Amino acid sequence: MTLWITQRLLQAMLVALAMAVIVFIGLHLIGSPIETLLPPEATHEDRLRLISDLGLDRPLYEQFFLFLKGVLQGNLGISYVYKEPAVALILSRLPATLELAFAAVLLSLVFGVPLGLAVGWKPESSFSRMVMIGSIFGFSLPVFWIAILLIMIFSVQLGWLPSSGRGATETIFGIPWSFVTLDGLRHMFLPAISLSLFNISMVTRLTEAGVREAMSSEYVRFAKAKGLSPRRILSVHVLKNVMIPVVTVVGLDIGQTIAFSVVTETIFAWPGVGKIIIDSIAALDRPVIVAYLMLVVIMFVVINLIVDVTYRLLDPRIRLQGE
Amino acid sequence: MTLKVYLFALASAASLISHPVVGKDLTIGLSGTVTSLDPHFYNASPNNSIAMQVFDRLTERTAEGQLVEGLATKWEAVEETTWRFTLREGVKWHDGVPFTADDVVFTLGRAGSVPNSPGGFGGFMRNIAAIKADGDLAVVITTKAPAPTLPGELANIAIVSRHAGEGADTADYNSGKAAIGTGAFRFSTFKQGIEVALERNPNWWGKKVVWDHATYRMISSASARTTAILAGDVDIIDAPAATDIARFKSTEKLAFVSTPGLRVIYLAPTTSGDAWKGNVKGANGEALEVNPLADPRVRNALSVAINREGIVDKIMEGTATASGQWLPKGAFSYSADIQPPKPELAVAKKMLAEAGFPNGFQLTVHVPNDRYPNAPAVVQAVAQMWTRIGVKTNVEALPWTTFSSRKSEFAMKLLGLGNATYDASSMLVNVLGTVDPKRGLGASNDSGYSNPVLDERVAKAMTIYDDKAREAALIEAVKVAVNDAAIIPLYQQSNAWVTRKGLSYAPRIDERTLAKDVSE
Repeated sequence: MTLWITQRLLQAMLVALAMAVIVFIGLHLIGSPIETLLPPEATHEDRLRLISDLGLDRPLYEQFFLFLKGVLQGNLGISYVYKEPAVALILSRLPATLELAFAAVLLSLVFGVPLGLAVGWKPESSFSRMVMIGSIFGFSLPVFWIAILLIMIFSVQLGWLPSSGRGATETIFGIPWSFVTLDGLRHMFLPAISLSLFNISMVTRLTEAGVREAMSSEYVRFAKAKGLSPRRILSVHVLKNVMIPVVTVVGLDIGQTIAFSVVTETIFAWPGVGKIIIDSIAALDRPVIVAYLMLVVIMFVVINLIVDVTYRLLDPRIRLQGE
Repeated sequence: MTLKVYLFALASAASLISHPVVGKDLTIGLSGTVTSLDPHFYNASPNNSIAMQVFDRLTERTAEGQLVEGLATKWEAVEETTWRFTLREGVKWHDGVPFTADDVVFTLGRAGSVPNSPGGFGGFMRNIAAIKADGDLAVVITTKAPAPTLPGELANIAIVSRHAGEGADTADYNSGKAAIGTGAFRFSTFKQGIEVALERNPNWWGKKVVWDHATYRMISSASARTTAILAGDVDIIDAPAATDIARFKSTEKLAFVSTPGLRVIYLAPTTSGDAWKGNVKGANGEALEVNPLADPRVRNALSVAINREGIVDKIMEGTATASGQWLPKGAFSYSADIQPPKPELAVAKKMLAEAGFPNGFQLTVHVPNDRYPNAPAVVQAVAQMWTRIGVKTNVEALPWTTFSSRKSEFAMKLLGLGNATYDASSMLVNVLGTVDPKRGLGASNDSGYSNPVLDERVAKAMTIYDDKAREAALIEAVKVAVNDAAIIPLYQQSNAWVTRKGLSYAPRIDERTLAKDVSE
């Protein structure tokens, strides 16, 4: 298994490198950051100084090799706009995005799995029908629309919850978190709900489908015949078997939510990485964009790794490739 | 006795609880992103808004753009190329060190040359040849040529201290270590792209500031700013969306203020070079030998064909003022003689015919789609108006990143100019001046416009020390450019703020949101 993990990590690095090359060339084709950065009052000297300061007067391949050299020394470049190391800039925003994404995924598991089990157990009950109809809304309503609706109701009309920002934070291990303060939780509530509605619906439906399939299988019928309580059948025997597709989807979902929560972050002015990546793309801030995309690639690979390992823990019959 | 002491302690504790010492806090929802606390890092409105409060300048601008005293209390031109600034007495830096002339000398050496910075402050100091302290409370600045506008240009340069700033780079300002100013607020915390927190400087020399703490939250999405002020999360926002203004005006607990701003939105025709060829074709799509836009009659025809009032009214929903020049009413070198041209299609057609294009031509106009409010819709409207006089116009909207790096290839493009000199000169020198790095002309001229008569007039105007005479000379130069239709001005954008009821903010023509000027 160690060999297998090493292989996967090496693959990740190759993908990240390929990503860097593509982004480097792509951004070069879009245009020059000099024109977007310079204020209109800048003089000819300002322009020449900035071009040479940022190394943009060198040929592209030379810029790329300088970048690679930096990567080997653990330096992904300095942001043109903020003049801070790109990685430090992204890492300073990551906790906000991570806690929001995990809150959303946690909500989807806490609500989605029990609902799915209940609905799968008694698909014909009126409660089940309501949940299934509700989940269609969860699927089809766009996240930004739900977000605005939630803000209009809970922040503007009722005034119960704040509409934007992250609120008070508490520093744990040198990182500011907002889920440990009441104010932070109040700020997190609406964005987490709007991010999780889609996931809740999906997890509910996946679980429901799995349960219905399992119900007709022999081991469940045997368990029923043996006289086990429905609670025990569901929570011990059925749950384990339906969790595999759920884990796959939730794993991909965490990645999606972290990497592309831009819309929700913009609407709630949530200070996560989504906002900085949008700002950086608008300013052609190449070091930040490259660093961000490389981190996203690595993150997806790591998440997939965790998903694969979880499979094995859930079902020992599954063998990992190369094992 | 013990009981008495105990009761007394209890009573005083209770009084503490019932009358807690609460500071007044102001939270601002800012549309722009503050990228650095280094006041010389980047000349952009959000950065300047913060720099204007942590630091002071030798001269300052009022909300209407008038030049007033700052750290200098007096400035006089002692010789044709020499200015003497008398500094304010008794000013202290936030750390208690007295402010002296040496700090000004240090600042002017630093402001134009911060490494790796987009900068943009060098232009304000391009005339400075040397600077010398004259005792502790005066500086003498010699200029390369007569520079009557120097005091106005120095209103853009934040004065930093030598003792905290020597050897410091941008990161030291961002961390607060070097961000020691003389201004109304001290640095408190800075989270890049998220939030800037300031606290009142009780020893500031200026007028009393109401707020003990001021927090700027960067909320780039207009709808998020709208909901934040409606929900009461923030006390004041800038740049509200035009579509939300009616709602703000009708909301009981909010107040709305606005003023025509310094930013002009204009169309820039490319008048020389070959870059126009891809974007201008004959009436039937054939290639043209000469650039129609090089002819002032064609440019004037295009200008006269535009219904500016209609655009301002219908598309900008009243958040702009139609303009035939590039300054709002009341600004230095604004001329009441130059009114926005009335739309006259017959006149426009006649001018085109005189220029040799009775059947018009085909033109592609480029517009950035993520920079100026409603700009693509404005250009769509202009395109219809031009098509009516026979100039079949296509519109191509591009993101600013692509637009700005390709802008010298366009034949006609929409641009905005924020105008940091608060008069007509910034357009005349940087945008319409013939490109000439030696004379510091045309640094932002990417349309190839060149008019020696105009350059001459501008150069002459910029050496006149008498304000009245300089204003008159600038207006003459503006008239030359307007008659030539060197650019086609459309409107001045309005600057607007929404506050919660009970607060007041005098709307600034320069887009800056200053906590020190928000009053209760």
